[in-house]
Amino acid sequence: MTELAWGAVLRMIQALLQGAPFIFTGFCIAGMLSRLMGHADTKRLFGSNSLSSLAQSWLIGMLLPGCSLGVIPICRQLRASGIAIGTIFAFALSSPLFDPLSLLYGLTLSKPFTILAFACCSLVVVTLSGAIFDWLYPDTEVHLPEPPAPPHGIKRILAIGVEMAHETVGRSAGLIGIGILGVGLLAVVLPRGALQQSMAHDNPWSPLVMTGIAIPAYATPMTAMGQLGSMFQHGNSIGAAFILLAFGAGMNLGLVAWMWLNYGWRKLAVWFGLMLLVVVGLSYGIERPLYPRDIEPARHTHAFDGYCAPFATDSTPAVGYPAEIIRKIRLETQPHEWFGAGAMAVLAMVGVLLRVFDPSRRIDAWLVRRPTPSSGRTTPRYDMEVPGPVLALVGLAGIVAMSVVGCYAYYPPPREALEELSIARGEAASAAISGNREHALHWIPVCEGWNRRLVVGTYLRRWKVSDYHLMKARLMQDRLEELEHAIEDNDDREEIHEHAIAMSRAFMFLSQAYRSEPLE
Amino acid sequence: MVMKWTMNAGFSWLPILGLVIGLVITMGGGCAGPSAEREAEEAHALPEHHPRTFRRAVVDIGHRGTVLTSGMLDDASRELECRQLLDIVRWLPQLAADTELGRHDWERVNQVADTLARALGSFQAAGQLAPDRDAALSATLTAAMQTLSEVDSSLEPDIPVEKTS
Repeated sequence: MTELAWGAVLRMIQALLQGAPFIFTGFCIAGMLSRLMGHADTKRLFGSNSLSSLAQSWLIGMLLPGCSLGVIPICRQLRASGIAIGTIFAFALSSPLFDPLSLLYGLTLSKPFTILAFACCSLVVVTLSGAIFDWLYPDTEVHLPEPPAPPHGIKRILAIGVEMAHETVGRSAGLIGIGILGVGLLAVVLPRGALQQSMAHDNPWSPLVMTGIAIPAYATPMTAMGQLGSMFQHGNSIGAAFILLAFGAGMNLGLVAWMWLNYGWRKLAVWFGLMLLVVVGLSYGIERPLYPRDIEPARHTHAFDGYCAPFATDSTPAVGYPAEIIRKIRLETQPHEWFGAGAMAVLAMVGVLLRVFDPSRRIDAWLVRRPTPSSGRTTPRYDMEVPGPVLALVGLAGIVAMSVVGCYAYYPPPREALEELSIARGEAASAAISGNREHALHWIPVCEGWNRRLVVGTYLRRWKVSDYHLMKARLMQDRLEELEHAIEDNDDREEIHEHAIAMSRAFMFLSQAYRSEPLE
Repeated sequence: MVMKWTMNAGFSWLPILGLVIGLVITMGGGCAGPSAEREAEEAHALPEHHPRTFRRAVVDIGHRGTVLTSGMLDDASRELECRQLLDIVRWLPQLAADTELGRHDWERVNQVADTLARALGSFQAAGQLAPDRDAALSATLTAAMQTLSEVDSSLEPDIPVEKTS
């Protein structure tokens, strides 16, 4: 039992860290909508209770980066703005599915058409389920009192920060916590490696099994897209892959709890039933037409190990569970995740301080107090008053632009990616050859990550990747997986040595392919 | 208020969640014990007819192609031979990628694999002995083998590796 509890703790921390940048972005967007845009203009931007509003919200969701936890504060704000539930969920479901980072990643997978088909299917899901739900329940728009808008100037910016801080320790935080608990629950229920043979294309239950996992699971768009890539490569069920994207990335228990708390069991059940019907129905419909015929199906994948218990029942980490968790977190957490977590920690600290020292919200009252107009004071010619909604739109466009810029930083030029891959490859190969199992198993996924980034980085700068380069990257990926499997299965040393050499050889060919056609 | 109404409605999602998770455990394999490990090992194993190298694949395609178009096979053997040959042809681009071949040569191999896969697909779809189809496939195979042999000859000769015990 101890290993299950510690395993759940590890999975929840991992989910929180992976989601931190997206959750922070979600709080930023909610803050801007609340303090700059206002209820009326937010409703105008997203629309409500109409077919066009569903498409509008889907499009906004597609453009803005987010995850299913990060959309929770935005959903709360959309509801407060008097937007109907169908429209809110059109945004909530589409925002976590795709963002510029994950879309680029998806388009460089073996079948970019499949990713585009998935995007179209997601539009069908939100439009169908949203339209039926809004038709069944046309009265889901609520009318809540709107707090006074802050005056222009620095107070507007401060007001956004204060709003974000309040939400970070408020109801949104509670709902995000419920979403994270779902991840822990899965890690307790699913034994280590339990999903390694469960998503086969010829298994008619695969989409249903994935539904069961994906609803409580939490995946960032990039994680889900990486798992999708692995599913395509292993010839797994395409229907299950779509469900992983729709429910794994698009939904979590926090969102379900939010719906229950605000709209009650009945509406939750109807909406959930509609979603299941449309998503599961679509997943069975696309299984055959979208299945890649040129893939040799493998009945084994590690793509879903992250949803299962991380610790084995028959062995305990030598350093103890807490130290092992810290070690894993330190090794696996990426810089942008640390940044997101740091920003969230600062917000939470400010939120706690505001709760303790300003329970009557005097600061909020001061922020919305307008200065008395002083007669005779002239304002400089270029000091124009920009309306709040305009600022909010600029802010939202800025977030979209930042995510595009982020793509170029996250997917560096091929030369840089090759250098990083070379370092990681060296670490993985030497650890495998010397028998340092843990070290090798840490560096192999790092290699896999840089291998993908190499391809996406090329695509980003050339807008195409040749079949030749794609095949070299695929060979590298296969060799990495073979090495990983050999280490995990405790194969004999000579066999692991052979796999390590084969992997290094694949890297050499990959490197040669890129160096023979330099981009710069 | 909402809570009260919803509780009165008598609906609970907990049994559904329990059912779904139960389904997951039942269908998803549930246990990662020794049998799961054995299955995993089997899943990693390559089929017997998977060639280890590009060079071996070229030899296999030539040999199997001759046997397939000889007209000497019964239906079952022909079906099996055709399926295995198609597998090898599909593996060919990846096996070629595991060599020093440059982009131009690799693309020639990829093109040949594509043409051969389509020819074998139609051959397989025919389902029964058809002499004209044998001849068409034979011609495609001959042209393919010429390209593959040219590409293969551009590679360094194999160096036998002595195993140390």
